[in-house]
Amino acid sequence: MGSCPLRTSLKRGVLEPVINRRAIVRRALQTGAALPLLPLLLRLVDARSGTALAATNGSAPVGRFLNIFLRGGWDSHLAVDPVIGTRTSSTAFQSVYATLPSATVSGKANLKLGSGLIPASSAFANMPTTFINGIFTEVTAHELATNYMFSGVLSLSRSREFPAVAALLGQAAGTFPAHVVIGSTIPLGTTKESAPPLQSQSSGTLADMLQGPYSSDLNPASIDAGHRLLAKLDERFLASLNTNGKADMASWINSGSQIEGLYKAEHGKVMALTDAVKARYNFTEDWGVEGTMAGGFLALKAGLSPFVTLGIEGFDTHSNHLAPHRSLLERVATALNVLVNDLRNTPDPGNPSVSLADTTTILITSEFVRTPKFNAGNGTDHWPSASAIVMGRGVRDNQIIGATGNDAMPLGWSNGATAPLNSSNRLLPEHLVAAVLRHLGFASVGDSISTGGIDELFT
Amino acid sequence: MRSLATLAFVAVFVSGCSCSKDERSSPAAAEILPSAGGGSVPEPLIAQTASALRLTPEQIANQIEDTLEFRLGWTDETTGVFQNLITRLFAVPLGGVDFISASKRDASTKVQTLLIARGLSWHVAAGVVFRDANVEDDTPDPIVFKLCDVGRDRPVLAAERVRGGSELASLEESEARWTAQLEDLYWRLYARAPTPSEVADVKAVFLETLETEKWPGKAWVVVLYALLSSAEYWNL
Repeated sequence: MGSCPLRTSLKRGVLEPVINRRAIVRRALQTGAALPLLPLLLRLVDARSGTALAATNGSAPVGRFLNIFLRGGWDSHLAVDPVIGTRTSSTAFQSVYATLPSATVSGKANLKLGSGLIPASSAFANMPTTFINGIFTEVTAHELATNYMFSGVLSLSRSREFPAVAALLGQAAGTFPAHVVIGSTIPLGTTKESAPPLQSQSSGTLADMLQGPYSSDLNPASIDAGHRLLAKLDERFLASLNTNGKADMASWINSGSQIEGLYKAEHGKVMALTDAVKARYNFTEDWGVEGTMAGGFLALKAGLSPFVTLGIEGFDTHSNHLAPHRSLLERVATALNVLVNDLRNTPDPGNPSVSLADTTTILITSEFVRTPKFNAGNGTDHWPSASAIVMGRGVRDNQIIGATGNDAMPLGWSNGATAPLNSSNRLLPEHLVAAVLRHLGFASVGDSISTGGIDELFT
Repeated sequence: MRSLATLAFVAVFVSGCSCSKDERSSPAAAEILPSAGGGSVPEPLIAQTASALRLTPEQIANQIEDTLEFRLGWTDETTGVFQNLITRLFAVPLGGVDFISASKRDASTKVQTLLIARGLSWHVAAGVVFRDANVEDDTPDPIVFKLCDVGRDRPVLAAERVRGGSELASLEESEARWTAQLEDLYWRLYARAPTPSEVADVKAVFLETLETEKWPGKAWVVVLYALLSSAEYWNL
């Protein structure tokens, strides 16, 4: 190995999940290693800043859609289904739930918040909001339930995957990119090939990729020259291939032509996680809840796609449930406040006369909720019910749809009121997905999922 | 465990350390190859393939390490886990899949794939050039740019050739080293020599960039980025 001092210096430090290359280089600088080339490299990977809006690429959407999926199964009793009123005396619930604070959204008496969502009070006050409880789910295995909630299609086969609602929207609208996924992955089904998303586990990484090669240390004309050279190299390579080879390269050629448009649209500049964005959302590392939520807003602001899905992990708390789950939910709620405020204060890239809050529908959900009682490890397990929050454009305000009973099980829902659950009055994931698709202007796609729906969800 | 800064260091700098560098790359390798300027390479040289087979990210990581001695990751000494820089920088899950699985996972080239390919190429190009341009005391030799001085050598400008004079000979020697280096890069990346027209294309872009940037190293970053981003590099 020799006596490389660099390697010696590398033995310090702690692995942290930072995956933004600018953050990596900045962190590298903080280690104090005196490497003369580091400043040069830093300049090479330094992000350009900018706030210019870019137009949406695809056909004009009826509206924008932001799906925030809390993976693992969220605790609805800390969110939209708090244990209050007569339920505080129910033995079905862990007693601690009755002692937790709850709140009513200002000016919206129907919207009761569990302790984890209280930080989002102003978001719900400032945007039309409906809470949905008691969605009946027949599967509580993560993979199957996730597919079901995302797609509205129940399958008991792990080998079959149906597209998430945002993927269906992207495919139906014909936008490019079809849709955007930040954070954990989502089911794509056949749209994986027919209408693939742009995706990254980190919003900062996605912004970096969309900026393409860049450097404050190089003139943009030099990078353009590199791309001209690349075009010539590719042209010669393709000319050398036979018919079969050219056919095999079709997707490469097609993708190459699209990527130039993405660079020119400068979505990456708009999506850059600037210090101002980080301060507003209160984060330093862009892979976490706050960075993901910020990325969702920035993707909409940039007009990268009208359809964005955010996957936030960490809700599957089978042990030591309450404090970490509540804390994570509070972080989501706090970031949601900022996101809604940003949407309200940002012109829609396709129609600057209105704000993004006027054009965006937000769906927050999870694959299921959690058991009302704690297990032996003070954790909670999977419960055959789901809850959701729907906010934004066209959403009927100050409304609760569906409910769970004193035993925390889903109740039936008929004509805007609860009823004993039977096979004909269940609120089902397909009803929610179909309603969203119809609301976004794709009635036939919605009907293909379910001809039923939650009609009262939207105005 | 080591910080992710470590990963950046490893990718950009440790590969520049001579601590465990192998000796596969012979400095004289390019000398025995047909000269691009001599026109001895048929054009196009590339074989007519039955089909173009796209490389997986895993294969690309290995290929970059093999061709440029630029390791995209690092094995944690305490855990034995390989920390892949592609995963860390571009959030692409790697490892543990065979080619068939990878092909099923990503059956056709997506825009997403190319975004990563371009980003990776840019990162590697900058890393390799700056690594070789800034040789530390304990890294006595550049690793890739052995046949020319990455910060000095360049093609002769047309005006310089017209002007002639006593300096022209040394400028032509510089261009010869530059051309040998380009040929070496072609062999490393594409397993073939460049055609004369390819050399001319690269030379034109190199000089154009040099005129703007004033330092050959930056022009090499642009050229290496283009070479690494090309369809030929990412497809077999």
